Amino acid sequence: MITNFINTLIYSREFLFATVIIVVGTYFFYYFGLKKFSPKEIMRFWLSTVLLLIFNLIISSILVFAVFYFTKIQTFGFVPLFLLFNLFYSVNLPVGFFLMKKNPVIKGKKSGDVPDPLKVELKENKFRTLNLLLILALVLIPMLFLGNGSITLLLIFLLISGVVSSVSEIFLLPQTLKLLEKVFK
Amino acid sequence: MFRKEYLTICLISLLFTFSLLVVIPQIPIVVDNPYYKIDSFIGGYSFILPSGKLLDLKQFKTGLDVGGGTKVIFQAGISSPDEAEKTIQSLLAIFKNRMDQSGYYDYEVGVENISEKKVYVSLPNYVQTDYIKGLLTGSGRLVMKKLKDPGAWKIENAPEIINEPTSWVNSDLTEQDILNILISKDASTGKTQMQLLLSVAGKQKFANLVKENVNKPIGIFVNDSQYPFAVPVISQNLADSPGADPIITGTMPVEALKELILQMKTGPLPVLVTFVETTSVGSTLGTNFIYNYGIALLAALLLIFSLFIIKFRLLGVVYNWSLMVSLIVFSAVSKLVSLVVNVPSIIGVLIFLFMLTDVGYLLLKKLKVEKSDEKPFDLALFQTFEKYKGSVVAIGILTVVAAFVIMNFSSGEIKSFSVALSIGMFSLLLNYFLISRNLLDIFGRKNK
Repeated sequence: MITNFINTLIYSREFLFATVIIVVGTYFFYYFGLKKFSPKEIMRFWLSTVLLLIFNLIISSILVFAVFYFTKIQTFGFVPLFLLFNLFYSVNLPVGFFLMKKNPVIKGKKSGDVPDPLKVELKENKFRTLNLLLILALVLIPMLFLGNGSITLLLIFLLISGVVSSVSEIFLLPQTLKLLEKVFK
Repeated sequence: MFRKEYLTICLISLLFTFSLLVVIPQIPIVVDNPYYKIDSFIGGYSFILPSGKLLDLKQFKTGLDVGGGTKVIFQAGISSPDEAEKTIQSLLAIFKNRMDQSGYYDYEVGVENISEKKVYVSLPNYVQTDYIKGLLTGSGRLVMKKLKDPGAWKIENAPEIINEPTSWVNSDLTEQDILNILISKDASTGKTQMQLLLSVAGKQKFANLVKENVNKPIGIFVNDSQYPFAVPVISQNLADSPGADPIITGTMPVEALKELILQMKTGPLPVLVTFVETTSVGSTLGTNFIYNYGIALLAALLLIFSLFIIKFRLLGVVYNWSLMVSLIVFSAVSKLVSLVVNVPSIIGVLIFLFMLTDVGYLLLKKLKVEKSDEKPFDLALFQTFEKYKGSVVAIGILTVVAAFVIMNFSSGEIKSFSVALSIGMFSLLLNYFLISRNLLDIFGRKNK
């Protein structure tokens, strides 16, 4: 079963090519779109996006496999769709964050202590991520109750993907950025 | 005085109205009273395009998983039971190839009953089953035949000779000698032209055939038919230019020619295939899926709208309005380009919805910050939209490029995902540059 599942992941051609386009495209998007940052910072942003994407894909795939394993279902037809959704959702979250960094949505305090800008941005990003997760849940949960067995499985995969991406965006992105800051010093 | 805002509002209203008319199904309007009578309808229109194709807007095209369809069952004429499984697998591969090359991607092929050598193709409701029957049962063979008795050929009794199967004998030129067939129109007569591109061996065989049959007809027989598909008469010019790829001019139907080319390209069928019956197949997602999905989406939208209103007040109300217009435009374009509603396209819609919501969140948040700096609303709005302009365009282009890559590398129904995502990006850009910007400009300035 695990071999079949891994084969489905590896041979999902459309996903592999889309990943290459998105990963390379995101670099150019940061390079030309975030000009106010230095090339080192842009590389840091891009690498953190890619690392987060890889993490999300691995963890979500493990969880999806667990669902297959425990439900004893062996039809992997929905896997390419889950992967594509994961790809677009996972990349969309950090891209949004770096756009917020470029055009800050937090008003700086005029007096008193100046807060750490990254902390404030990350806090705002947490709200944004949770809002999006809430929207995902709001769209998927009614469908979960109204659909039938076969689509329920896919919707569960999408929810897993959304939750993993959001959790990594909130908890891992700050750590990854800090780690890469040390690497690029 | 006429203001630019009025023009913009008119444009958005027209776009919304036109899109709504495209989206809604046919709704009858019947008024019957002593003063006036109306017996008409609104929505669900259909048009004939300049290309002659019918654009039917009565309902959305649904995929097999959402709307069910028809199962077409065929029987393979396999005589040796030992070879049955291998032959059926090869037959299914050819069926799949023919369906893919014809541009269909929402279908299923499989074995109906191995002991009875029956195979099936399941098709969604919008596909014409008669065309598919012809496409799949055609053997893909072509043979050129010459007259058994060329001396008996007279133009006066041509119909009797041509339509008598015993008048013809096989030549050695078959589909294996043809590399390709090109179709064109004769500019002067408007008749169909079919140019056979022959292999080197094929050219030699054809030269011999021509030499023996100057001013006589040769028959082109396709799909093991007893009757010829075309009967060109060999001219002296053709006999004088050996080695040329022959061009046949006639009234052959272009669609039949295209079907024949496809059948030849995908290889001849290993056995004779006959049509058995058609049965209907139900939707794998349940009978009321579209209705249930619509209700679920509506519930989700209401909750999303509430979130925006709670967080951004009037700005949220106005953005919700623009979100609604964008979704209607998205649905209208989807119907116009015949997007198939299936699970992959629904996932594409979800991604589009998230991007639309995310962009809205970022915009309104930024607008709030800009406004709190006591800038005039016009300036704050202008600066907010200008700052994100490049990013939104780049995200849109990047997503469309990825969608096109997916479309080219996927062979199945995932193509619907790419189409949905591309239309989504078009709607996202339309929302950014026309709808939300102008609606916020006109109606959002009173926001506290």
